[in-house]
Amino acid sequence: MASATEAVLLGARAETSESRTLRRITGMMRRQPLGVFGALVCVGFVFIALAAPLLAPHDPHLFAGPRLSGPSHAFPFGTNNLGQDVLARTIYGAQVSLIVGVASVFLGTVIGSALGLVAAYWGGWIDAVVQRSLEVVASFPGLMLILVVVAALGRPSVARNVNLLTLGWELRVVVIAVGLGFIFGTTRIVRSVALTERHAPYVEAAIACGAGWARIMLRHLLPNVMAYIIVGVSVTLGLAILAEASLSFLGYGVPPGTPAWGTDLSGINRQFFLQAPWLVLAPGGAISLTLLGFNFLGDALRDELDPRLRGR
Amino acid sequence: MQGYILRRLLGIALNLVIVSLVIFLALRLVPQNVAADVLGQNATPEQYHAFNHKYGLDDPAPAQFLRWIGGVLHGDFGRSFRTNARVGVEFRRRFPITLEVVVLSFAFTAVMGVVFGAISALRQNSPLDYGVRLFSIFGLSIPNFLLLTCLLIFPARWWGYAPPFGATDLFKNPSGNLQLYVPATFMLAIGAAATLMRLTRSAFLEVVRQDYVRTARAKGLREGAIVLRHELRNAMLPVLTLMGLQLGALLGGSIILEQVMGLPGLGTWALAAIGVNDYPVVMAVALYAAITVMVINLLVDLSYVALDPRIRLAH
Repeated sequence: MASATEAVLLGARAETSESRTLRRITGMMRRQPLGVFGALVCVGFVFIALAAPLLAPHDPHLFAGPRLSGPSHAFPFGTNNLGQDVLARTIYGAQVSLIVGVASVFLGTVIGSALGLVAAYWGGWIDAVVQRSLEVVASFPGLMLILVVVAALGRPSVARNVNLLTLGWELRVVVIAVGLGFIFGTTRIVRSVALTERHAPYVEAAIACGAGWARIMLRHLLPNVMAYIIVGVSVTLGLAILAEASLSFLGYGVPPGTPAWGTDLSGINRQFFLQAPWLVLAPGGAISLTLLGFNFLGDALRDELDPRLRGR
Repeated sequence: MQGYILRRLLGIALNLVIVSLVIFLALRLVPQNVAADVLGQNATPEQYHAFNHKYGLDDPAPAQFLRWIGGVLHGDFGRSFRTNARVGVEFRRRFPITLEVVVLSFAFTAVMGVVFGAISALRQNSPLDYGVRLFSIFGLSIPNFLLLTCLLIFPARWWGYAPPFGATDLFKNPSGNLQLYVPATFMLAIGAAATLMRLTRSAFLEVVRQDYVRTARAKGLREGAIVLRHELRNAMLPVLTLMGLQLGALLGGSIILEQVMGLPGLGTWALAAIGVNDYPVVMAVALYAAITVMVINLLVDLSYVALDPRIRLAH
């Protein structure tokens, strides 16, 4: 028995870490075919957003053909009431979704994890203050919170697609509003996991060895909550994209005229939906497919990584 | 029990003061020239002055806040900057519309979510289970504003059908009202029901493997009694938590539904008010949303005790 364990351990050690990671990933891919589909959709979405200027057949802001012409060879997704190419607008729309999604999830996850770790590590009044202030944030229904934050900070004015970073900066209010909503959930999960780890023997051993608070948080607590954070991120990315689209749909996100999936489904465009349903189907299909990809990927990652589901 | 509820209500009251202070400060974070927004750029400085004086905008912020809180305690939510209408009166006029949207969507969410989630778990890996799971992942992925937009467009294109948009009063025109609300609230419920189905399914799968379910079956209880009294009751705890969150979130969803269907409810009111910095309206709706969410949280916590006698309220 002992020698068998030893042999397994030695075998595992002999294997390089790269080939082990590779094997783990191929194992995951075999178990989660839908997750692979989701991952492919997500990769495609990121690629389309990054390569939009190369992929789009026309400038999404400019008059390209006859107004409201149906899908054709020249305009596969038709044109809108300004004669803009709907395909080009749908491709460029991925940029807004990507930048707002990634930036707001990054913001919410980093702040949320930091607050969760701090609250779990220090406890006492710091924990109480963190908890109470998050309760205030959580007492607004999601969309209401986002709208109030946008109202407080002022709506973004004009966003022209110069490049992704400039676009992200122009939309910072939307990023903050959407990201703020994700802090609460992240903090709650990270705090509860870190609380159980906080008094684990290895943490006490580290304290006994003279490790400082920063070292304990980053080297000991953080790796243990990482699986939860990764699962949270994959699910939250879809939610962030949806929140941005909803906000833009209500007219408080991306300024009108900017190619974005939520914006193209709202405002003046709505008057033409009845005669030109491709105006709905192109951005609507794009956002639904993207969310489907993130949901499949998130489900697969949760099944594989969430320690609470391990061994089932 | 009474002591616990009393302490929770006091906590809610305290939280509400903090919440309203936060919204009040947030709305004044970036100075906005409300008078110029409302009166337009061509008004004279005297008119701006009179406007600011009338709504107390020339007072220091703490005085404005105290006056607002004082008014709220007397049931006076102030007047809208834009229309000068009493916020409380307008609120009562619009409230039933939002209430109907929220109640109907919540009913669809709860029934679809729990029933299909439970069936899916009880018949695990059957075609029905796969159907429910497929529906839920698609339901999660299609945004509600897209579903609502399709609801307006495709029946109109195919059959020339449009719902009776004016029928916002349930009691004056019941059949027209339901024609307008039922399909729309059903669409709004799909996304929430999808989430609820998934959670109900996993909660049920956990419960059906428990020893007490086997015991119940071994002692010869009827299947219906096992499902309702033993499985459902134990699976309900996480489900109720999510339902509480979803009921609160439906207040947000109602904004989208009202906007798409053109209903004059609280959602469209708040949305328009945010655009023109009409603070008294924004404050009233935000406060209402916060109260609702907090009361729902309290009710969910109390229902835990009713469902599971092992849970004791913290003293």
